[in-house]
Amino acid sequence: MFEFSFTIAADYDVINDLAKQLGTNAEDDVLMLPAKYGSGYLRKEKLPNKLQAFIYNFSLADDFWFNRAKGQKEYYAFICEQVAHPGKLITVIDANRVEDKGPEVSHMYLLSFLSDLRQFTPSGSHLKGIRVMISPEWIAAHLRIDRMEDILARYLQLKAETVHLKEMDKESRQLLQELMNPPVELHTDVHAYLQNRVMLILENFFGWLYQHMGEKKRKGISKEDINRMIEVERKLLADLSIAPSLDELARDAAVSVTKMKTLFGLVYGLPPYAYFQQHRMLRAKEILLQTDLPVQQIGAQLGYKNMSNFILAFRKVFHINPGELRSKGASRRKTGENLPN
Amino acid sequence: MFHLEIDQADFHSLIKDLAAKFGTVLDQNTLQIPAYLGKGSIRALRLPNGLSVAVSNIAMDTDITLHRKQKEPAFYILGFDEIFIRTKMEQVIGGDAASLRPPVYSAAALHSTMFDSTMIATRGCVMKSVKIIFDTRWLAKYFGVEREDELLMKYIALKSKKLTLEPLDVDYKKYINDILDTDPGDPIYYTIIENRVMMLMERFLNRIMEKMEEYDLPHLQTADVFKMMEVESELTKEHLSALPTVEALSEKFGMSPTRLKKLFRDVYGYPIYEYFQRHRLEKARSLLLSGTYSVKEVGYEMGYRSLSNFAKAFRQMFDYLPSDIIKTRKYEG
Repeated sequence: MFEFSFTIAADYDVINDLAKQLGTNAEDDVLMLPAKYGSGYLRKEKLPNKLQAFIYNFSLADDFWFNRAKGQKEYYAFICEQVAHPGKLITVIDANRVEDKGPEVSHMYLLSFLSDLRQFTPSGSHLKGIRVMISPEWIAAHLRIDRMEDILARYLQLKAETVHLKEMDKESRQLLQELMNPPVELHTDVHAYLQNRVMLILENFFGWLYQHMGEKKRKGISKEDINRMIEVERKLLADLSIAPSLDELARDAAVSVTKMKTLFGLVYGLPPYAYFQQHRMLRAKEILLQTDLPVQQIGAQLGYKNMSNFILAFRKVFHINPGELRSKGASRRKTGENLPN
Repeated sequence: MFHLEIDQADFHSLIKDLAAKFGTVLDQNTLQIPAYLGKGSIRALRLPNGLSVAVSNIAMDTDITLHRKQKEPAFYILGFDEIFIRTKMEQVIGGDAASLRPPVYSAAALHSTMFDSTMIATRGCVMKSVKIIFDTRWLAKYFGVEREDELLMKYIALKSKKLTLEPLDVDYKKYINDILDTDPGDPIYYTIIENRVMMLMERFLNRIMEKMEEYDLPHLQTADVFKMMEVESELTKEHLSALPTVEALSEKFGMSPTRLKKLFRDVYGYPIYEYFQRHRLEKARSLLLSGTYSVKEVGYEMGYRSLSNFAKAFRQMFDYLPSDIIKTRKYEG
């Protein structure tokens, strides 16, 4: 078990401090996880619009406690991440404790520096996401929302209630994917590319926040229903080679098929099957870019008996054939321009 | 004929001066075009990241000449313009004149105030545009493009329209329409505009620098690019119930079907039918998102005779059904 404890502040140098505690060095604000603790990276990016973002993609080989003691000054951390975890994930915000049994969460939320945060992530977890540090002044200047303060206060009061998490939708997942893999052929500074996508993710979140917190009273979707849908989503994506039947999913969640479709759309923004298909193709892209498996085999792995159906489905999502996408990815590897992975 | 001299380095000052000249008052940074000149408005925005942006939607009722004198220190003006031209329109940049012919000009272009520029628009021009002012320091800070950047300088100095024309395709238009259509009362209006302006700039800068690097459009003549703009506007015009056949288009534009298909693909990146399909479905999506129309209305408006074909095509592109948008809207109230 590794325990990382610190007190949060706007100028706190998390990368170098964490590197020291892990017994390693971070060069140029990039921390590579030592093999003893896992593999992957955590890096800091200063964006042109003065936001500070942490981008990470790593696997843990040990249980990890992240203990962030509250700071002195109001400041915010925005988190947007996908965590695949084989065991229990525990989040404690002040006195509120939430557990997630897994196997995956993918969500965004905002945390105040004035709260204590403790997070337990079990060994074998894979984390991929961004954290953005945002000052109240930045929110005032950039979001220009008069009523934002009130809305933020109401949001932060919700604390660990499930409902304060926004499930990532198709667009934000796509943006996170783009953030992790900037194109090779970029002519402009990669920081601009990162900033534009971070900003679109923030827009997605703050637009949602405003809509939900700004309403006089929240519409009737209960915490139980959200938890049910989180369960449905898990089952839906458990095996990307075959879509479970809607009847089965609805039965397990103890709701009617119609109600499930409605609720699922509410929480995830897409009907279940479309959502499944979207993730299936994102997975295909990942395998394509990270392995040398032949396209046909990737299709087969994802349940396509017919290669041309697979290619068609892939094109629908990415507007490019799997083979073409791979050759683009390969030229990136050759020039060595890709980011540490 | 109306003549205007401009030299303002940001759009706020520009519309303020214009308002004084026209004897009107600005309302929420928006200038209404006086009736003797035409109809429409120009909205000036100062984005949180320091960009000055003008969003215009104007129909001209008179001939107008806009003259911008060379100015130091120089700054850039990046324009995304969709202009329907009735008789003619002319641009003169650094003494180099280009005549834009009817019926349509729909492209992005970057100018520097290092050069004098004149725009002559004639009566009947209808213009939707997003213009952005920035300087080299801003460009270096936000996009890492330095003042000395060779590719960009080459682009600015280029007299050949062939390389500087960047036709607006569905992807550009999506952002432009979002900018034109977003309600200024939206609580995160500035964020929405800024994010789309930045995406437009990112795409534009990368594409022109790629072009400058490759110089690989030997067979594309300026006249051909203009012709393709016409074809594109033919494909994307309102109330189009069916796609004109390639034969009809090739007859209309005086070239062989093979050549037409090839040129279109070279300029817009997609085969004609696929492009038409993307446009029409994007349009359908935005109509549905507006919340004013039913799936049925939108499907028929987009020229589908069968709603199930519409739903199928829609799902193919977006991975969800048209009705899902309506449902989602309902949930979110």
